[in-house]
Formats: sequence, structure tokens, C-alpha cells
Amino acid sequence: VKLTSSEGTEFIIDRKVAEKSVLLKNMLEDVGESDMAIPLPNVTGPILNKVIDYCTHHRDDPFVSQEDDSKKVSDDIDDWDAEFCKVDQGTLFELILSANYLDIKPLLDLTCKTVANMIKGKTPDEIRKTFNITNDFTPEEEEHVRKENEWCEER
Amino acid sequence: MGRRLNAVKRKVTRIFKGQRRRVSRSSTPELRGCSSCNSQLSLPADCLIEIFSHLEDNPKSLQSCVLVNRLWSRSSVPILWARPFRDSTPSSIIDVYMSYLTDLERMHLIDNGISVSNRRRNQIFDYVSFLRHVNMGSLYTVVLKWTDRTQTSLSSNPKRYF
Repeated sequence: VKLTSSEGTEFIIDRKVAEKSVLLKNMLEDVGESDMAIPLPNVTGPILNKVIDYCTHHRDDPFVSQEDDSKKVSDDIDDWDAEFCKVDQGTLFELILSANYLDIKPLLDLTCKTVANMIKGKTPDEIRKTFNITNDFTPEEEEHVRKENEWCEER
Repeated sequence: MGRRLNAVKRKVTRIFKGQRRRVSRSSTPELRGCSSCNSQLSLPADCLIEIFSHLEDNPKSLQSCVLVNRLWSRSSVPILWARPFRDSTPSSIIDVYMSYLTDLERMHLIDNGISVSNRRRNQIFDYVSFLRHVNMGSLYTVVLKWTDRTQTSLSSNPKRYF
């Protein structure tokens, strides 16, 4: 299967690896055998490379259905996956966007878990600093939201 | 009830109208991607919801997310309020739910010797609508804590004892 990243770089991968992506799997089923490269205008070369790394490593994993994830725990990341996620924040966010776009549920779960772990135990201000987010609440709104949600503070 | 709900909806829409515009504008460059311009990179709401869903057992962290900014708030509040009752949940949550009662329902409670505040507040979010799971045991525990805290004057209430 041939894929083209947003800059036009071509990648050739096994069909089995490509089928980790539900988007590509459906596309391949619809199109059938073809020499045409599939363009992925939303994914850059370096990110696509990472995604292919992931899919190749996990090529033999059983397919997890959507219903199976009723219990989401964010601390069961294995060593290979943890190492895979040791990237800068920009790359991590792009991986999330690509996993979302390509519909690769286990990769989306892994990257989102990684971000969730970065959020855990932080104050709103620390979260803003970590992810470079501007607070666009007016002080009045912020106070309102705080009041209505303060019940979950442990007392 | 309907009118109040609409007022709440309008309020939410007004608050987040500006935000939605900003998100759609920034989504193009972030998809094209550039690892060096971290500061410009932000995740759209569907990805944030995916992230927050991994924190559903961690109300404390979700509460931090609620206060980060408008987009984060909008994405995390539904998860925080989907399964709000745990044994450890502070009883003040009951006050938020109580503020949704109509005057008639409020009167009914007062007539039955349960003191509720007369104040009706308009909430920023329609928290009640996000409720998905109720653990009856925890609900009972939380309500018990709430009655312990708010109904202390009850013992001197003749209605109940005589």
C-alpha cells in the first residue's frame, strides 16, 4: 500500500500495517487492489513515519472494539509505548490529531492517556503553563464556573 | 422550566460563541503541523474529550481542566458531571442539583420539613443534562452527608417530632 504525506513524501507499507487505521482499511476495501498512492494531506512525513512505526509494532495485536474500553485506566502503558510517547508536545499533539483522523483507536488511546497523565494532579494554572494555553475566561465567569464545580474538591 | 433552560442555553452559547470561531481558525495550521511552533498548537474539542475521558475516575484533575479556559471547560464539564456520585463526593453537589428545582418542588420539600435555600441560580452549564450514571449507594451517602450538614435545625422542628 502506498501512502503520500502532506509534503508528497511516499511511504510503502504492508496492507496489514495500513489496516490498523480504520480509515485506510475502509478505503482499501472500497477501492480494492490499486497501485495508486493514498494521499494523506492532513499528516506530515515525520508524523506519518511515527504512526507507521506504531502500527508496525502493533501489527499483530487483536483488534479492540469500541465497546471494550468501558474501563479506561491511564497507567497501563507498556514500555515500548511509553518510549514511543517520549516526544515533544507538538509531536504528541500531532500524533493525537493523526490518530483521530486515521481512526487508529489504540494509538489515540495511548497518546490521549499520555496527555491525561500530564494533566493529573495539576492545578488549572499549571495545566495552562504546561500546554501553553491562554485563559480566556473573564474573572467573573471563572468564579462562576469555580463555584459550580467546587464540589469535587476533597474536603 | 423550559424558559429557564432556554435562558441557560442562550447564556452558554453567548459565552462560547467567540471560542468556536477561534478554534476553527486555528485548526488548519495545526493539521498541517509544525513541531517547532508549539505555542500555536491546540487540540480541537473532540480530541480534548478523548483525553478527558481517560480522567473520568479522577474528578480532582477534571476539575482543574474545567477551569483552564472556555474550550477545556466545555469539553470537560460533561465528563465530570456524567458520573458525579462517589462516596467521597462532597455534599455541596446536592446544592447545585437543588438549584434546579422549580418553585413548586421547592415548596413541596419545605412543606415536608426539608429546608432548602430559596435562591434559584442560573448555572453556566446545564449540569443536570450531563448525568449518565448514578451509583445509588453513593447517592445515598452523599445525600446523607448533605442532610447532616444542612438539616441540623430539623431536630427542633416540631413538624417532624410531634
